Amino acid sequence: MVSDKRDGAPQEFVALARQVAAPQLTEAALRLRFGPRSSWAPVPGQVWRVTRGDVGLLVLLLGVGAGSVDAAPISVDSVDAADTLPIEGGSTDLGVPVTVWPGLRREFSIGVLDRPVAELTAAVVVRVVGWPARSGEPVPEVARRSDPAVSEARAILEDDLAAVDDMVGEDVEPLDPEMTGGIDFENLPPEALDEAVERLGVPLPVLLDMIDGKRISTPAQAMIMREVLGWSPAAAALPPGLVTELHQPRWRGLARQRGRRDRITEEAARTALAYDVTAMAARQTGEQEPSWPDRVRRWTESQRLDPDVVE
Amino acid sequence: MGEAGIDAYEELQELGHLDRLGFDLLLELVGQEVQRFPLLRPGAGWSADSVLDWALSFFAERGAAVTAAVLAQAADLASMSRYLRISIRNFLVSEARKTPSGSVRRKIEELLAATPKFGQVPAGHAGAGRWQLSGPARAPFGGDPRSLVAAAYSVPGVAVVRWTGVRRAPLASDEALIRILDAVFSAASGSLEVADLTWIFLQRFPAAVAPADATLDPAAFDWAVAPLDERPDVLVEVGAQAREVYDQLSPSQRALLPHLEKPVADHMQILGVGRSQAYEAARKLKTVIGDLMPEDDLRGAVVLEVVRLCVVHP
Repeated sequence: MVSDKRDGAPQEFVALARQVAAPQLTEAALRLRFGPRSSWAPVPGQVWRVTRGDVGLLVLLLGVGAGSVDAAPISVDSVDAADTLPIEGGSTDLGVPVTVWPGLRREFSIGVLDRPVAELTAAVVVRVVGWPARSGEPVPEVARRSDPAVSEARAILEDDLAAVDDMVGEDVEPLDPEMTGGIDFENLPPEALDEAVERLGVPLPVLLDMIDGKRISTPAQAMIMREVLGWSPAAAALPPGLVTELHQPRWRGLARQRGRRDRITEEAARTALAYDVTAMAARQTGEQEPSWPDRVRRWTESQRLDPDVVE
Repeated sequence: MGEAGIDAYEELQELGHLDRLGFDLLLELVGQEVQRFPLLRPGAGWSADSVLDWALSFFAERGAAVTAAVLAQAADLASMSRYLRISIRNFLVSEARKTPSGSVRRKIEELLAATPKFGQVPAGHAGAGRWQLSGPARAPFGGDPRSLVAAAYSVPGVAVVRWTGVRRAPLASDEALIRILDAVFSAASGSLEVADLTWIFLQRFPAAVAPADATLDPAAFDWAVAPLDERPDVLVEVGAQAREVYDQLSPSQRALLPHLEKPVADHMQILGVGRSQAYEAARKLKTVIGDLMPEDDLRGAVVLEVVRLCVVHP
């Protein structure tokens, strides 16, 4: 529990802070409302938190595709401008006035969605979807000059959107084609296979399967094989369906856990997860092919990981 | 981390509101951010009490929005701190721009009273006591005041003189201000409160403070806010007009001006902001320079001298 001791905080502050509390937005309250992470499925009308690094912002979902969402950013303030739609505090779950910015609407990778936090009415979604397109035209000069604070708020939001957008396309690192070739077993030092087995942490039969292409190699494994054996198999392309599935926000907690464990970025962790799931799927032959969500769930269970763990 | 081993974000998540750790974080961030706002600095310099005052003012005005926003869009202490810092910065920019309101209001009242073309709505009529163009009583203006800001901007040939620096220069010449009042009343087709007129004039003549002042490199900032009289390179008399223009620029505008024609990537680096904010800062500076520079043969020389004053920074 939080200590009751408040040496530094004046009572005036504490009283005001309690007045403006937003208990409906705590993680615990949101979990009750939207369920555990593994059950989340983005739908239009929901307001989602979008995060990358220390950048966090809110977006209103207008359309949801397999790997991307159509969304407009939301700022927690009331901005009445030519390209904004202010919404009163009483009409949202956020409890304070917010502003939707239809002029900054864009498509995001679904992988940037972090968690649902609220819902807006269908009427708001319809208004934003039907907002007149600006066609990239700059905001009229008179409008900019008449309210510098709006221009500045818009610029900050645009920069945050750009920072989040940068995430798209960084997930899968393709292998260098020059890495492919063949192992010259005749001239390979005998200890090289032992070293490869040790560094890869796999038994020799598994290593041989990897060399033969019967077992998939991750980029990291391919790198070790190239260093030790002078060659590595081309890592098979990841199945697009799995890549799309792992971008769903319901698996984002897994990627974060993996990233923290291996001290790698969330993007790199998601790629590693994809290779792990693919490798397990390749071993599961002779049965009815499960869906990618089911495969991810099976792999999660086999690893005793919890996608719903509170971070 | 607090005594219970949690941080301000975890405290917020547990309680649903800021508390002791949140207050400490707020105070720390406000203490850092106010340093970049000389317009707000108390005469005796910053103290723990004056920082506390600004922290409480900030929270009194924006506490509800900040609490909801941090809970909704921050995922950890780092993103909470970033959001709070930007909110504090925006608040301080807004407050710094309000500082001359008293002076502006007094100037407007003085001009209204001294100029026959303006008069007050007589008693017994709607909006009695408000100001209007002389003539029959007019109804109170009920439209969007932002349209009147555009009218204020439409008056040509007004040199912008801002309310910054040691010298509190007038907004512009009395004659120019009267022309602006005339244009605003004409656009309003009704009567206005002095408070409305003050707001319109503050939009038309904002104080010299820019958001990028807070992200500017510390050495460049120190140079840019140093009084011109104390600078060793300014030993000779500089052109009065160039000096006046220089005085009206904010620290980040002074840092940016010599590099205004460079690509936006350079602006991003100089100001320490993202692309859109750099673009916005450059756009605003070009507008301000256009407004401030004299429309005569001296313009080229004044521009060069202002750039020279700005370019001698380390």
